[in-house]
Amino acid sequence: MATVELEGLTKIYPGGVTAVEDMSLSIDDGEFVVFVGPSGCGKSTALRMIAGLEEISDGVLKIGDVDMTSVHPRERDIAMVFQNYALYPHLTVRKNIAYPLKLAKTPKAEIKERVERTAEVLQLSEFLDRKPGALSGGQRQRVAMGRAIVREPSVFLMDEPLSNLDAKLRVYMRTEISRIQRDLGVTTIYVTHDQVEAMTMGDRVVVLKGGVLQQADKPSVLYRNPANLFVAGFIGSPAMNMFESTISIGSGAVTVEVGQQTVEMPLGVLDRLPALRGYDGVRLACGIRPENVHDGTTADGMDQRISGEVIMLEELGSEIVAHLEVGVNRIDSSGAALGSADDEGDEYDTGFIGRFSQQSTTRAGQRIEIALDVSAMHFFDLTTGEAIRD
Amino acid sequence: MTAIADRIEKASGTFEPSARLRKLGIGRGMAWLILIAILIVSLFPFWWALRTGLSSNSDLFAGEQSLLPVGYTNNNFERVLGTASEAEILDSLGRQNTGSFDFWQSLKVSVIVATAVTAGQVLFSGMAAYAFARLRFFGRDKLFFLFLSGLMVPPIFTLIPNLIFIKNLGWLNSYPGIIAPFFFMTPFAVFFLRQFFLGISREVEEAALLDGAGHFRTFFGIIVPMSAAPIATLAILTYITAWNEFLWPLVVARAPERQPLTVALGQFTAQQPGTSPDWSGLMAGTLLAALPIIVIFLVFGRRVVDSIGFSGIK
Repeated sequence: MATVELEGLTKIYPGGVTAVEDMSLSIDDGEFVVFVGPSGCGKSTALRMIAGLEEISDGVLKIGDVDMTSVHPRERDIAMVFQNYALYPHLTVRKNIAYPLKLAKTPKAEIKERVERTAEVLQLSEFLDRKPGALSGGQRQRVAMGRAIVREPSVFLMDEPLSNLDAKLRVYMRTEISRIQRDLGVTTIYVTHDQVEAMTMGDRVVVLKGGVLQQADKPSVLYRNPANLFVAGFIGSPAMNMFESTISIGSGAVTVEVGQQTVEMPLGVLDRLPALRGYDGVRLACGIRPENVHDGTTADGMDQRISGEVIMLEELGSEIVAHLEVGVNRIDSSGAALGSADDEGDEYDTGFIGRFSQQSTTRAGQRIEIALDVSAMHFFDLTTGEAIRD
Repeated sequence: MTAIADRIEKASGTFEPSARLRKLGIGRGMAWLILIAILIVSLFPFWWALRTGLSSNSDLFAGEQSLLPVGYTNNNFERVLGTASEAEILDSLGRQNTGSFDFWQSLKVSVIVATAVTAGQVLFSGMAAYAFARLRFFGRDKLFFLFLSGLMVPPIFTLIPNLIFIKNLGWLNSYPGIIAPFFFMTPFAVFFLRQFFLGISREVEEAALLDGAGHFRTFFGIIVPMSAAPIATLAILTYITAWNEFLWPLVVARAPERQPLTVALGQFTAQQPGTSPDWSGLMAGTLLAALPIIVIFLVFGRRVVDSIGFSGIK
């Protein structure tokens, strides 16, 4: 068990492509940190640099306060679980799990004892004499976990270990990995592109984009206080509704433009977000999460309303996801107008989304009154994409 | 309901024979005929060798049209194996056996040479292929293609330089001299294995690296067992090629005790001046020499074909 320190970690490939840029992060002993981001954001490269599978172009890596920047992978005392399990197909489960111990010249009796204990923790005891080819995906994943656990390393690294499993098994393994990590208390760095996985598993979630660290914080903080447009758009499903807007600070309230319509926020918002004062009359980005967008007929006590047309409804049983047209200029997480030529994100135009309660009787094609919980609105600078906070 | 059942019954009743007929259609019949013809053409030389080997040498020309052995005798095989008595030889050949061909010694040479060449080539080609497939070093791919261009060089080009080299080393008429040019690697073997190694998941090697294995342990402990099928195929192909090698041992091994079977058998036609060649003895010897390879192919043939098919090579 150890702390992990990344100090200005940078990876530049021979062709000149920068995969990770000046990444600094301090991971506590026993912490479960998840790197998340879209494809090509540098999360796997960062993990591979920590593992020693990629050379570090610049910066310093410390594991347990020891500089490991140029240390050989096998001397870093880390264990890694790979996306495709990376099991040795010609060895039985027992030999797969025992392999790192065998290489470390551990006494045979101890190997046997530790392998069997690990197999028990992972419920693999009955498969010890099978080869990986005779196991299901979930069992193979557990063998890969076993090979990592058995070494009792300082740090676990996991590179999208659940992406090859079906949805149901993925949910099960998610809880299993969290449980095992908590039981063992080993510092863990987990890479995924699935934000649900990131939010449910991590003590802390690190959001990356284009090789640059965007925000590293507890899942709830990321959700409630995203540092920029990218994090706001990436975390949460369905994604936050983001659109161009202007605010005007009046004597009694702050008026927020929602397309051609307006809503009012109490002046108290300026105490919470003092920097907002500097944006009076300036174009900015406004964001509101779908769960703060309600059907007006079922949202008692919410007096800030706009009108809009229902484009489509997705009935999920517990709630209804409504795709709405409210006449705003929606923007994506890079701050560009949706559908514009310089749109570098992989986002699709899904409309302005609201999560209506199941009591809602609205129908597609109807023009309805929409209630907005304005206290949960987020504001971002349109040029920098940074959140307007303090 | 009944109408449908009737129709199904009728359909299945008429369908069955027509399907069977179609199975035995003209195309299929032609394919079978062609296959049988190819089989006969391929196997006929073996049969002819066996038929001649089992014929008496003195009666051979009298019954040259016969498809069956003429004056059946197994004396030729006994002669090659050195178990025939002088009287039997005289009876069979009509003269003294003038050859000095020691089948068992030549068999030993063939086995030693083929085994050593196979072991060396598989080991070194495997390591070179792994280096070309996985290790990172300056000019790796250029070096590989340069190496691969060796496939274009006809073996005859290297015969004289190799002979001079081996002579200068003082290795004429010795095992090292026969083995050396084929011992290390061939471009084909390296190319063949490299293709397989490229297909192995890099994650497996990285896992081994993190588990504490170095390059050698990863290669011998993980890569080699994972590539058992292609390595076995290469070993079989190399063994067959080494077994059949004729030209190099002919020039480098003049001493009878260092001649593999391929060279020693050649002496059959040359060693009896003034007499007609000992065809029966030659055929018996050839069959015996080919026997180990035929057995190897019968046992491992399926694996070789599967592996070559799988690799997409040849």
